[in-house]
Amino acid sequence: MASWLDSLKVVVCTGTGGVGKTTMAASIGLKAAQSGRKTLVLTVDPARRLADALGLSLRSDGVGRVNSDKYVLDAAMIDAKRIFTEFVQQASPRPEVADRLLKNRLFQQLTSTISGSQEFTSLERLLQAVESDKYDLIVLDTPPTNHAIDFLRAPERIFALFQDSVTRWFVKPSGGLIQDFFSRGTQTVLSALEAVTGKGFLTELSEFFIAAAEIQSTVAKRSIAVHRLLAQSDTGFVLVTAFDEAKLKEGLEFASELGRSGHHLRAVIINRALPDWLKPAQDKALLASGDEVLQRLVEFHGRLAEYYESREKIYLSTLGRMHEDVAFCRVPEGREAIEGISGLERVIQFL
Amino acid sequence: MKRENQKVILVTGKGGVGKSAVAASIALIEAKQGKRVLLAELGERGFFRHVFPGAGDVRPVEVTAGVDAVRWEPEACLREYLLHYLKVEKLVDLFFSNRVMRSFVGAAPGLRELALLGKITSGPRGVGPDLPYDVVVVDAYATGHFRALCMAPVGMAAAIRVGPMADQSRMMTELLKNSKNTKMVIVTLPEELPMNEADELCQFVNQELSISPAIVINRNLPMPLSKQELDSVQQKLVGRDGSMDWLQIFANYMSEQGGRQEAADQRVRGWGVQPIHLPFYFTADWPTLLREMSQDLGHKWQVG
Ligand SMILES: Nc1ncnc2c1ncn2[C@@H]1O[C@H](COP(=O)(O)OP(=O)(O)OP(=O)(O)O)[C@@H](O)[C@H]1O
Ligand SMILES: Nc1ncnc2c1ncn2[C@@H]1O[C@H](COP(=O)(O)OP(=O)(O)OP(=O)(O)O)[C@@H](O)[C@H]1O
Ligand SMILES: [Mg+2]
Ligand SMILES: [Mg+2]
Repeated sequence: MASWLDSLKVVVCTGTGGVGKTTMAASIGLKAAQSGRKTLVLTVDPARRLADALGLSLRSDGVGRVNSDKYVLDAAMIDAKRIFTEFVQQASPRPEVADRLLKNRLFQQLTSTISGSQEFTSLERLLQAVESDKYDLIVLDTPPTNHAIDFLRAPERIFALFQDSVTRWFVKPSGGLIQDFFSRGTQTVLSALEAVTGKGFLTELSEFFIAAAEIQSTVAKRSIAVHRLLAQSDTGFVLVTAFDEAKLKEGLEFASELGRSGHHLRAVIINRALPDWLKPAQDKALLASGDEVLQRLVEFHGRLAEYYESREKIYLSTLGRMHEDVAFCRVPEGREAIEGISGLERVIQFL
Repeated sequence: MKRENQKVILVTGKGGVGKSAVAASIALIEAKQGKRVLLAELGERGFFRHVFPGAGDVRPVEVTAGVDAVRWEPEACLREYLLHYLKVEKLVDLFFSNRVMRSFVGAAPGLRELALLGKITSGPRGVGPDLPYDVVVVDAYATGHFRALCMAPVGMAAAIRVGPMADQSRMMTELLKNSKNTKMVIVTLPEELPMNEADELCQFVNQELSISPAIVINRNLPMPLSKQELDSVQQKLVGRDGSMDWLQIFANYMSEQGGRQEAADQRVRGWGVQPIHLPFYFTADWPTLLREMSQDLGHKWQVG
């Protein structure tokens, strides 16, 4: 049977924190691999979640292969700092340029703070994997964000920082700082900034931009390539969401925002849905069995089942508002955390 | 009230564990004790707009008796910070309309976090516009990003060392460390991953900021059967015909869940902290959830 996954070459797994992105990325990867496609799953998860979920240990370069003679499934952990450093080294025309940038304190901050740089590096790593042409499908697991769309916004901000017009502002053709040539407006802004931050900051800042100017053309090229890749029709976004009305509403917003920005949402995975073992019990005779302890257990089961059922209703009423070419999957709540290939195999039947 | 006595309560934890629910409940509890409370969320898009009609605005809006809700955006906070120093609105406008500065503000390492933390701590630090609240409850970022938020002033102070921004940054860190004003709450679940994250974060804030956070273990299933009762039921069900499979699975699940809840409790005690337990509420309705949670938490919650 054809599935939403078959036509895709890249899958980006998004969703707010803790909803099961990494687990679902691993499951999607396993499903594709089992159908005969060479697959890579990329994750930024620092907690080695993906490796645990796939039950494998990664080599020191962060890559591992699931042990199977039936399919090819690779997993790679994205080391944000390393990717950023390599990126700068490759983009720099001379080693001194890379050095200067890597030693700049603001740059070091840029690569060590989570916000933005993680997203930037995972997209860079995704692009590298696509260009390597070694895989039929690449699944990207995204870092936890407040809102699913943040994943796309954050790298844009970093690309903007390296824009030609921005770096040029600080740099004169010979490479020095052109403070003397600034327009009056700019001078005013600069001295205002200096008043607020202190002189040291401004010096760091201009050094940063002088070095950044040298890698600017590469950043621009990569940025365009990333944009193109993400907008391709065989790049599909998957939204993993929890079973909560407010979160489902945010999912709807995400879907329409993706559409507006030219991306393609292909599937919504509602995770932790009503599991079989919580389906309302048919066997009411138990309640009349006279065993008081057993009765208490059955009653409690009924309460929990009712709770899941009421959430299921919310899901059904929200579902009607989604676009039809988006696949819907509901993955039931497991009895315990999902670990290893056998755990993932239980998930993929629902995808 | 004196603004240096303002309490700032930061609520964090892994994604989806119940940070927003706990933050809102704390706000309700404090308001019920007669305090003026601000419930603040961070970022470009709020969550509380789904919970309280009118919430999600960048200006405080009263959402229930004694509680105002607000959403703080990094850029707006930075603007406010600049205005505080430059004093001239025109100059700030010039700054933000400058294309270069706009991109810089967007991506500058740690600047967004710094601006937010500056706002969060602005009350007791006595900087910026008046925040006329006794308590500010912040529904803060999830673990990883929260770390970046707390460490932004440390990084900034290290990167620039001298000048007003470095001084401000050091003051923010001081305030975070000051338990008279600041309280940190880590929400977790009786599950392995959220517990691991809580563990790491707890150690981190202990070491880097000398903070001992409160730990809330959320969503504990109230056990309908004692351990012995569960054992006996499980034994009774073994070998019964297939029609009882579901109950057997459920009994096993309950017994495993009981084990996980106990392990979580023990683990938190091992960090030298008395955990606060919250039960699982059988509702998907936010008003009901908040009513019950604030009632239960109210008995266990004490600020300084
Ligand atoms: N359907 C399910 N049933 C039971 N457990 C699940 C299910 N889906 C996910 N989990 C468990 O929930 C936990 C969180 O899942 P996961 O790490 O995939 O979330 P995430 O969205 O990647 O989190 P983060 O945003 O922190 O990266 C894991 O322990 C996983 O095994
Ligand atoms: N004690 C509880 N019993 C039952 N449901 C709960 C409980 N606490 C929270 N929930 C539910 O869990 C879900 C997540 O809660 P909440 O939105 O507060 O988490 P969060 O940590 O703020 O999530 P996010 O990281 O996405 O911001 C919601 O659907 C909420 O209704
Ligand atoms: Mg993850
Ligand atoms: Mg929340």
